[in-house]
Parts: sequence; structure tokens; C-alpha cells
Amino acid sequence: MKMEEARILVVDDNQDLCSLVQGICSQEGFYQVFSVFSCQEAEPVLQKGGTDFLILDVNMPVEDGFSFFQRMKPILERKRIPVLFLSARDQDEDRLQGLGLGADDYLTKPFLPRELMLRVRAILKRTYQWDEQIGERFRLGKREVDLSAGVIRILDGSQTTLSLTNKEYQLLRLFLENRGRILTFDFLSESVWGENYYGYENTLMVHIRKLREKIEEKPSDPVWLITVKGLGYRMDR
Amino acid sequence: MKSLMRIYFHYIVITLGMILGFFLLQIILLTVVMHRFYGRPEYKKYSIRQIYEQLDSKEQAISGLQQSGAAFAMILDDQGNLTWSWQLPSDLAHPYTTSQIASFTRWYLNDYPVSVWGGQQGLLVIGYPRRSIWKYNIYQSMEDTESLLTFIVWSFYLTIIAAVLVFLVLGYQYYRKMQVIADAVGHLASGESIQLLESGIMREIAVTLNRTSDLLASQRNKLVQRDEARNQWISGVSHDIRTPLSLVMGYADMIERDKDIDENVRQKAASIRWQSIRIRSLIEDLNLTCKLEYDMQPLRLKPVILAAILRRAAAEILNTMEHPRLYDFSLIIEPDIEFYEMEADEQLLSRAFENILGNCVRHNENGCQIWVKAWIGEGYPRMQFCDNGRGLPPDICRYLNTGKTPDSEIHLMGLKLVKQIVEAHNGSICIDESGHGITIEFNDSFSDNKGF
Repeated sequence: MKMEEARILVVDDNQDLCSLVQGICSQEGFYQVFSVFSCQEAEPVLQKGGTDFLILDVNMPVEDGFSFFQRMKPILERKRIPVLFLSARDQDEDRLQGLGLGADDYLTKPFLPRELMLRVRAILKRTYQWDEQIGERFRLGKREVDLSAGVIRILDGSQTTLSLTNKEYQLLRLFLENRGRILTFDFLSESVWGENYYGYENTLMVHIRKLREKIEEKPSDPVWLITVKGLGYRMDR
Repeated sequence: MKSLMRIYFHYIVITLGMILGFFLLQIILLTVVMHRFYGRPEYKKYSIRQIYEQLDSKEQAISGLQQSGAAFAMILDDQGNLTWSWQLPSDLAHPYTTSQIASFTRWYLNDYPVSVWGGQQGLLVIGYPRRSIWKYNIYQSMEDTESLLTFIVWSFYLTIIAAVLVFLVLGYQYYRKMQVIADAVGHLASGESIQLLESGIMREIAVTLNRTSDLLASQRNKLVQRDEARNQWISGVSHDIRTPLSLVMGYADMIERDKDIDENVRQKAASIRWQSIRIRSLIEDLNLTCKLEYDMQPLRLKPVILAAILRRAAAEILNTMEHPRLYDFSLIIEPDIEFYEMEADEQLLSRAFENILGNCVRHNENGCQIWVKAWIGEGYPRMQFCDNGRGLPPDICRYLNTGKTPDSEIHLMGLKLVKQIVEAHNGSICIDESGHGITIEFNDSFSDNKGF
């Protein structure tokens, strides 16, 4: 089963917002997205089964999202349905309450569609086992990155395949997930080496150099993995 | 209140000083009076003893008598017979018996006050004009006299002590009453309400203070209500705007990414999305500035690396720029600050840096050079944000440098938030006169340079 086949249920009293979320999901290839406009409507859908992911608003008439989540928690836990709160309530206390109840994530409105989908994908990925995804393959000029196999294939007829080390894989995944965005030294180091990342800057540079040797035609004159002086690196689109 | 205790001690010192002063004044007055009485030349130069000694030369003796104001004089021998006289009234020119001599020696001679002095030449009797001298003899036992003197001395000391005690007790009573008033003023100054007992000597002051307290409490309540209403309104508006803004941002993003739509429309959608992000940022600024203004935003302090926050903020701005190629951005982080650690709220500091950089971008839509430098100056972390664009208006520079709110209608919420955040971290912000450079300095009360 592919990730895009996941059945997503959106619960929000605002019909326009439900339509938007459905549209965003559809654009990302998710075609089984359903909307209901109250917790009362959502309850039988969840009980009946057939939901893989729940996007839940907090402020709703009759019953709010937090109390509905608490009430439905046994079903959600039994069926292992992940929940993302999507709310206009942006206070830290609200966020803490939502996450404290056991939700998988909490996103505040207004949100960027790409951010929503990144979160949805991340949660789905860690909750279920999915088939190999086409989305895990990326083209960088004459190179194809296959993240699921952890290799880079050179598309020049030679059929050369280059293996990625663990750190190179982690770095390349970060760059590919954030193409066009500058990723700072600190973000990259922390993501790869953890919280106490200080002192890994030189190590990071070594890994970046090795990564360039695998993805760039001319590593000394990179066109994909660009250094942003003083800040970090950016993977061009 | 310490100041009130100081006033009380001051009062005691002044009181003791006054008592001592009055005592000295009395001594001075007594000295003057005594001098006036007994310091006259006739007292000094011509006492009866001196006149007696001059009797060998009668002219000198008569001259002395005249200068001492005597009315007459005579010398009696041991039998009471007159041996010499001067201006003696005729009715007094006769021998005197022992009892007569004893009588006038103590009292008067025919109503003339007299003085006597005895010696080899007989008894000199000097008479003064009638009603010119008052004579009085005191008979007192020595024991009683000593007791009287002891009593006078003790009485003097006791009077002084009693006076001091009276001053102390009265002063202390006033001190207690004033302490109540002073405490009440202190409570008022710290924004608390008071209710004093309206009686006694301080009644009028208590009434006035109670009225002031009521008035201040009423004004305070109105301010709280107004602030709550404002905050609720801002919070409500920002909450209500979130869902519609989600729709705007979401659909604009979908249109922008839909490759089947005309490129021109997609660019407009991108512009709508970018402006929506700006509105979202403004809403967040508005909420945050309100919270900081009313101390509703707790600082989540933890050790942070300033350089990392600065890089994150710069990357965030560059990643969300609508036209990044228009801006030449440079970031210089000196080695001494690279691992500088301080206690700070990471989110807030990042927000402040993003606001400064975002400000450079927004107000120079045709592009400019932006350079940021971070270093340690005089032991404190410093950051400078410069651009060669339009520069900040003088009014905003003045506000950031002095805190003086501009008279004209200038929108400075973003930079106001920067100032609030920096000051909440015990830092200061300074803008150069040209409006092209913002310098931030944090002092060490918040920081802990551990280094790595």
C-alpha cells in the first residue's frame, strides 16, 4: 500500500477549510480524503473504521476537539489512528494541551500547505509501513537519488551506483526534503549529530564534500548543493 | 519606613539641641544680668573696704564716698561715740549703743540703708539714700541649706530629664501616627488600596488618603478593564482572522504550484501567498507585543548559542523572501562569539532578529546590500545589522534610541517588538543617526559565557 492511499478524515466546522485541506491533500496525491463538520458526524465514521489519519480542529460548536479526542482515545489507540490538531488557538498552553493529550502533532492556523503535508507525511511514515515510494526518488541532473535504496545512480549509460553512508543519507534526505531552502550549519549538525552538535562543523564540511563528490558532476564547482556563506547550504531545485 | 525613623531621630537630636541651647542661653542671660548688677565701677572701685582703707586721707575717702553714691558716713569708736562724719544728718549725730549698732548693722538706720566695716580706726558706717537699697537677712540651718542646694541641683537635672522624656514620648506617639500615614502612602505608591481609621489628630490626612486610594483603585480598575478589552479584542481578531487567512494562503499556494495554470496567474498567487505570510507575521507580532507590554509573555530561558539563532533567523528570512536575488546578504560571525552561550528565550530572540532583517527587506523592495556582524565587545555579545537601503526614518531612530514615541503616525510595531524583546533580555538597542545600522548589545546579567 502506498502512502497516498491513506484515508484521511478532516473534522472542522468550517466547510471552506475542509475543502482547502482536501484540495491540498489531493494536490499531493492523496485521493481518499473525507470531511465532516462536527465531532458528532466524525464519531460514527471513526467507529465504523476505514480511517488512517485524523485532522481535527479544536474550536467547534457543541463539542471541542480536545474533549472529542479524549472521548475517542480508546478507539484511536486501538485502531492506531494518528491525530493532528489543526487549530487557530496558537497559545503555548493549547499546543501543550493538545500534545499532552496524546496527539501526534499540533499545527496552528494559518498554515502553509507544504508544512501541513510534510507533517502529515512524517506522521504517516512513522505510524505505518508503506510500500517503496516513487516520491523517494529524485533527479539531480544526470544523477538519480534513490533514498529508499540509499544509493545514487549515475545516468550516463555506465549504470554506476554509488552507496550513501549513514550520515550522507541523513544529510541528503534533509536537503531533498527542503529543496530551495537554506539549511544552517546548526540545523544540519543538530539533525545529524543530535543536541550537542557543537564542534561538528568541520566534520559536516567533510561529509558535504563527500556528498558533492557523489551528486555533482564537478564537485569543485557545485550546481546542486550550494554553499551559502556564513549560513549553511542549500539544495537548488 | 526608614526615612520616618530618620525623621524621628532628627527630631530627638533637634529637641536635645534646643534644650541645651536654652540652658546655655539662661547662663548667658544670668551672666549678663550679674554683670549689669555687680559690674558697675562704683561696686568695683569703691567698696566699703576700700573706703575704709583710704580713711588715712580723708579727701580720698570722701571722694570714694561720693563716687559710691553714699548719702553720709561716720566713724564710731568702741564705745559708740562719733569720731568722724561726712554729710551726717543732724538727727543721727549722737553716740550709739551696742544694741543700736547691732540693729542698724542688720537693718536700717532711721530708714537709711547702711553698710559697716570695722578696724583699727573704729567702725565705719556708710549710709545710702533712703529707698535706694533693699536689705534682707536670711537665717537658715546649714543642713537645710545643703538640702535646699541638693534639691535645686536634682530638680534641675530631673526637669531636664522630664523635658527630654516628654519630648521623646510625644515624638514617638507622632512617629507611630506618621508611620501609619507613611505606610499608607507606601502602599498607594506600590499600587495597593488602603483604608485608614478616620479619627484623632490625623483624621483629615486619613480622609484624604482614603479618598485618594479609592480614586486610584477606580482608575486602576478602569485601566485593567481597558487593557483586558484591548487584549481580548486583539486576541479575538487575530483568532478570527486565522481561518480565513489559512484559506487565502492555502489556495494561493495551490494555484502557485499548479503547473496547468497560466504562469502569470501563478506569479500573482505567489504574491498573495507571500503577502499572507506577512499578515500572519504581523498578527503574531501584534499578539506578542501586547503580551510583552503587559508582562503576559513568560520568558522561556535556556542556554542558547547566539550565533546559531542569528544564522537561523537569517536563513528563515532568505528562505521566505519573495525576490531573494535582489538582496546581497552577508553574515560575519567572529570566532569569539561562535560558541558564546547565554540564557535566553530562543523563539523570541529569533523573532527579534527576523523582524530586523525582514524590515530591511520590506522597506527596500528594489533590493539592497544587507550585512550582519556579531562579535564580543567589552566582554558582551554585540550584533550589528546594516543595510545600504532607504534607512529608518529619524522618528523611529529616536524611538529606538530614547524610547520617545513618534508624534507622527508611523508604523513601528516590528521594531517596537524588537526593542521589547531585547530589553526583556536585559539588552539595549541603538540605531546610528543615518538609520542604516542597528546595534544590539546584551549585558552579562543574563548571559553565561561557558564556551566550548
